[in-house]
Formats: sequence, structure tokens, C-alpha cells
Amino acid sequence: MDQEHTALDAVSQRIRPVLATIADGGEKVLGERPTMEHVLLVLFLITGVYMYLGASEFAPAAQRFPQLMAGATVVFSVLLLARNYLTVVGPLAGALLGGYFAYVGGSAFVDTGDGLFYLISGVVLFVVAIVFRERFGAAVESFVAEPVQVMGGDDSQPKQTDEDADTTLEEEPESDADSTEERTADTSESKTDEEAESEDEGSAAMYVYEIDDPRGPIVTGALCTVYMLLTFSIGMLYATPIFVALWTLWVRMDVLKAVAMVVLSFMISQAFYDFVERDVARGWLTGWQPPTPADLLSVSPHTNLFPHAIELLQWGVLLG
Amino acid sequence: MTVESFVGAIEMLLTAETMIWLLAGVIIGIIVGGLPGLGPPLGMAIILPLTLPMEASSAIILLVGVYSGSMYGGSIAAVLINTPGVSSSAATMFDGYPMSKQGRAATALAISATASAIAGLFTITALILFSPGLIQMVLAVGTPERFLVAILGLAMITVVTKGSAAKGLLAGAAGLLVTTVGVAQPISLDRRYAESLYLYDGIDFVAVLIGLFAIAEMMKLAGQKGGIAEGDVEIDKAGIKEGVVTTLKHPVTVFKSANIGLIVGAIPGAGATVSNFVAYTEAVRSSKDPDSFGSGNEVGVIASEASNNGTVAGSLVPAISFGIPGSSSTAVLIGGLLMHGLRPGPSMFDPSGELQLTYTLLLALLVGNVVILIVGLSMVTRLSYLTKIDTNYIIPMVVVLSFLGTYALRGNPIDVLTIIVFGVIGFYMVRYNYSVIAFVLGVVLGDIAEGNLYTAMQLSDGSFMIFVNPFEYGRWLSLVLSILIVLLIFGPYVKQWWERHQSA
Repeated sequence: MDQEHTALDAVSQRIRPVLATIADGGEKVLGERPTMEHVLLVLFLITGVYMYLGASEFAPAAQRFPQLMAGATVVFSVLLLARNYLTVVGPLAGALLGGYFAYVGGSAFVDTGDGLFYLISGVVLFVVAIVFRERFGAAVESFVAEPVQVMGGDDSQPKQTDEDADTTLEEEPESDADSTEERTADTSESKTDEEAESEDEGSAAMYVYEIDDPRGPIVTGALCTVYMLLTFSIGMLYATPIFVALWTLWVRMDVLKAVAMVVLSFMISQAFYDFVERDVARGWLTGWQPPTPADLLSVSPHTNLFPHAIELLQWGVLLG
Repeated sequence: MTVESFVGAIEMLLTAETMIWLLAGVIIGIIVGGLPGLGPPLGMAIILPLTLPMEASSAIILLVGVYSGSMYGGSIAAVLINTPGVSSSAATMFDGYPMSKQGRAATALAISATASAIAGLFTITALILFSPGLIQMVLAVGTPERFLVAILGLAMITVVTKGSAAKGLLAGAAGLLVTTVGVAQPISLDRRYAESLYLYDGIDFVAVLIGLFAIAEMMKLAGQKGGIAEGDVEIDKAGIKEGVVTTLKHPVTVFKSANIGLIVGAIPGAGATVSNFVAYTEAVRSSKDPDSFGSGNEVGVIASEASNNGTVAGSLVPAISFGIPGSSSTAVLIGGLLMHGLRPGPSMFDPSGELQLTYTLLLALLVGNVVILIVGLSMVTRLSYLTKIDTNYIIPMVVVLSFLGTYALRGNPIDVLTIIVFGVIGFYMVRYNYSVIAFVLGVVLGDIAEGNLYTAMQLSDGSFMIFVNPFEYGRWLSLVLSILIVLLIFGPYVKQWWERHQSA
């Protein structure tokens, strides 16, 4: 799915300096060029923290499991975000975690006599993380960074580092327009694509794929978001053909084929409206339900086209 | 009672309605598998909401038909355009495509259909024959053990996924976290974050699956070039007979690969992608002429295709027994079971419960493999049409069906948001080698793990010692499972440390 120069490229040209500044700042903090992986990890981290704190408002019996999972999510996210500083962060995180477990377990033990397991494991973790901090750091580093695998690919292959990937990218000649475009942004996206691809190669135990045009996933994601917003405002019945029309515009489909696709999609949404879920015709946020084709075509004096003339006019303006 | 259930299953299977759904499922599966970029989990995820108005048995049979059919369908694109329709057919490309270039596409596709069908028939028959023993085993497992089996399933992720164990565990923990939203099922306590009424029933995990498998896959497909046949591939009818005969001449490869598929398929997280390569590698290793692999050796295609269909039976074992998906596809299947009010676990093997449905499902797969053989062989000359469908037509239609299907699940707008959020998360998770199957396992296992943990804690008055102290609680299996979990998580590190220690 290769596109020629589009408005998206113009936008990416404009935001490139901003992204570069953010990436430079992030590089200083993370010890590596920020990528979408870091965004993903930050998302996990924020969600974990929010859900950990949010769970404290639940009844005690309902707290344990979400807090346990949220805690695990936070710990692993932090370890992966700080993977370039694990010799320092590892023991520190271990000590903090151990201290926290010891505090929680100790408090529970004093109050109710429970929590001995937490108390002992917390103290052990705290002591190990402090006393054997170098070994502990190395062990955490190995846990986070080194591939552990007994099935699938070949671990003997050295893992390509970010530096390697960057070098490869810089050394590659810019042979044509497409390749220039694909470098869109020293931005993290194209760099990370290269890195991820190089990491993916040679594995049997995971899902392997390559991305040729980074704009494809971005536009698809954006169009899906537009589809969702339209769904929430005018309902899926009409949002569906609009989404498909936008898609056909993006891929520059032949007019006849595009019309056929739009009609087909409208038929599908109409079938859902008729047989599965009537609510697909209503916008959830607005509560607005545009007239359905049955309303528009009806000859009944109550539901004929005329009462919807104003709405139709609005539609015409909107589409125009 | 078991025999009665089996006879009842045969009666249920032989109804016209069941056979129609089975046939439809297999054909849809072959088409979905044959379209480059799509695959069994995606096909099943899209169809899942559409099964809402159907009876549970029909819905499950349709889904397993799609699962089984798409395993074979994946070989079509692999053979004809050197692009695996599904990742589990990746090894088929190595020899299937060279065969196609040599003008032997029909032979390769016939080998694929025959090997897939024979392996499927063999493994499902084995599963049915061993089912009485399996039933006894599943019914003997208690609540604490079921919790530990769920954790064992998650721990296996660290073994079968490539890359850092921390990434696998993060994915698993995040998946489990998703299940903590909404009312906690085992204890019926409110867990609504931000007091949103839309989150009262939690995040629908079918919507999560649709996001991860449909939207993420479409985002991926939108960024890929190729995958579409540029010219006509000549498929000569004469090669069909040759393909069938060639497969029958290699019974050892078929049975060995089917067994590899069966065993690897039963390991959570491994799935057909792994078994496919393991079987292919084994075929190369045991061949007298290993150098011929990669240049059109039929045995390579046999090994690859026999293993991926063998995986179907294997992956059903943990899925039906404990609700632990052996693969992404079985995760969706579990979604189907839950959506239709069927809970994987002992009740699926209880003669007074759902045993009849379980047998029907297995028998349907058995018949489904015969359908694969018939449909596969009779359509060989027309299969190339599938590889000419442009992804520009596929992507919007899959997205549309995903949106509409998701909304139809509960009529809850949060589900629409869910598929987009998890679609984007899934896309980047795969991109950066975070195990999506670990995430899915977490999502699927969350309720099972928490429910069993809660009950186990009630049994032990809140003591975790129930899992490790058989002297007090008499649960030796719990101790064994606990040790296995520890070994799985820390074993590789201990091994590394020991090897370094030895070499130093």
C-alpha cells in the first residue's frame, strides 16, 4: 500500500523539528532514542499507577487482585523503561519493593497476625537488593534484556543495537522518492521500524512482519478514530459508508470501485440495523438519529421524506 | 454416561443445520486463511459477534470450522505468492513456493490439503480416544490446582516467547489487569474505575480480541506492500493426483509432524507458528537429502501443513479443559464459549454438563478435515483467485465488520473505543516484540485465575500455603504445579548461571 506524496507528508515535515526536539530530550533521559515502544511503556505505567491507586477505593476483598496486577505492570514497565540503567535502578527498585512488602506485611502482622509471608519476602528482597546489589543489578539486567528461549529462533545471533540500526539507516543511500519519504522523520517511527524488523528476523516463536510504508498504519488508525467519532455522533449506519469513502479516497481507488465499496458497506450496516442492532443508527454522544433509508423512502405521511427536509439539507451541506 | 454423550454428539452432528454451519465454517476459514494478511484468529474474531443470535452448538461448530479451514487456507498464499496467509504456514513457503515456480503449484496445494486433512483426522481421533483419561484428569483437578494451572499457562509464555522475559510478563500482567475492570465476578463487588456505568460489566474481552486481532492486523496490512499475485499462476489439474499420492507415500512424516503439532499446540502460547517450524526442522534433520529443502522438496510442505493442522487438536486440550488458550485462535474460541454461556473447565467434561457439546465439537473437527480434503482438492485450480484480492478492499471491510460486530455484542459504545485502543496497543506490541498471546492469555485467564484464587483462599482461610504445603492440605498436585511454575520462570536463568559457572 504505497502512496505518493500526500498532505500527511507535509504535516510530518512540519512536526519533524518538534519531534526531533522531544526525541533529543528523551534520549538524554532514557539513554536511547525514544520510540513508540517507550510511549507504549509509559501508557502501561500510567494505567498501572492509575489502577493501583483507583483500586484502593474498592472494598478490601476486591482490591487484592487488581493491585497485584497493577503493581506488576508498574514494576515491569519501569524496568523496561530504565533498561539502560538497570545496574543502578534494579537494586533500587528491589529495595523499594522489598521495603514496601515489609511495611505492608508488617502492618498486617501487627494488626491481624496475617501478612507474615509478605513481611518475610519483603525483608529478604530488601536485604538481597542492598547487600548483593551488583549481582542483583546484573540479574535484573539479564531478566529484562537477555532473550530467554527454549523454542523457536536462534539466540546465538547477536542482537542488533539501536546504534547499529541507526548506522544502517544513515548509511543507506536515498535512492528514490519513496525511500526519502519513508525516512519521514528521523522520527522515531521509521527508525523503530528498522529496529523492530531486525529484531524480528530469524524467529519462529513470534509473529514476524515488515512495514514498508509507516503511513499506512497511522492513516488506518486515524481513519478508525474518525469512524469511532462519527459513530458516536451520527451512528454507525451512516458512519460506515463515510469511513469507507474516506478510505477509498486515501488509497485513490477508481471511482466505480469506490462507489461499489461504499454501497456495499452501507448495505452491511443496513443489514446490521435491520437484523442485529437498531441502535447502530443513533449517535451515542449526541443522541441524534439521522433518518434511515426506510424513513426516507417511506410513502407514509408520518415518515416520508418531507419532515426530514431540514436534516437532509444539513446533510447536503455537510457532504458538500 | 460418557458413551451416551458420545452417541448424542453423533446425533447432533448429523443434523442438517450442524453440517451446514460446519461446511460454511470450513469454507470461510479457507477463504480467510487464503487471503494474505488475514488468519484464523482474525477470521474467528470477526465472526464471533455474528454468532450471537445462533445456538451455542452451532456457533462453536462454525468457529472451529473457520479455525480448521484457515489452517489449510494459509498454505494457498504461501504456495502461490510466497506470502503466508497465516503465520502458521510460514514454513510452507520454503518449499511450496519453489514448487509453484517449477509449475507444480497444484501438487503443492494438493499435498497441503491431503497432509492437513490426514493430520487433522489423526490428531482429533487421538484426542477422542484419549478423552476418557483426559476427562478423569480434568475432573480430579481442584480449585487451587486450577488457579495454578492458569498461572502455569502464563509462566509458559516466558518460555515460548522470543525476547526478554520481562516483556512477556508485562504483557501477561497488563492482560490480567484488563480483567479487573467492572464487577469482580467471583465476589460480586463493584470495581468501576471513575464510577463509569459503561464500565459496570467491565471491558468486554471479545472486543479486546477483535481489537488485537482485527484492527491491529489491518493497521499492519495497511503498511505492507505486496501480498497480491501479480500475474496468473498456472495450476495444472494433473498435479492434484500426484500431490495426494506423494503425501500418502510419506506416512511417517505426516504422523510425526501431526504429533509435533499436537504436543506443541497443547503448550499455551506456542501455537501453530512454532509447531510449523519445529516440524519442518525435524523433517530436514531426519532427511537423507537435507540440501534439497528450500528448493521444492515435497516433504517440507507435508511436514509444515501436517503440523499446523495437528496443532488444532492440541490447542483444544488446555482450552476446553482449563480455559487456557494454546493459541490466539483458541483464545477467540474460548471467547465464543463464554459468550454463549459455556465455561471451559470441568463442566465441559461432565456427562451431565456439556460433554456432549465437547464431543460434538471434536467430531465436527473430524468431519471438517474431510471437508478440507474434498473442498481443498476440488478447488485447487481456482484457489489462485484468493491471492488476487487487493488488500485495499479487504481492510475497510474488515474494519467495518469489526466495528459493527463489536457494537452488536452489548450495544455498549465503550466496546467501540476498546477495539481502537487495543488495536493500536496490539499493533505496537507486536511491532516491539511484546507477546500478544501473553496479553490475550491474561485477558482470558483473569477471571478464571481470580475466581479460583478466591475460592482457594476461602478453603485455606486466606493462607497461600495451600499451594505449597501438601502435609497440611493434602494437595500434592498443587506442590508439583508450584514447583513447575518456579522452574519455568527461573529455570532458564539458573541454567545460564550454571553454564557460566561451569565454563568459568
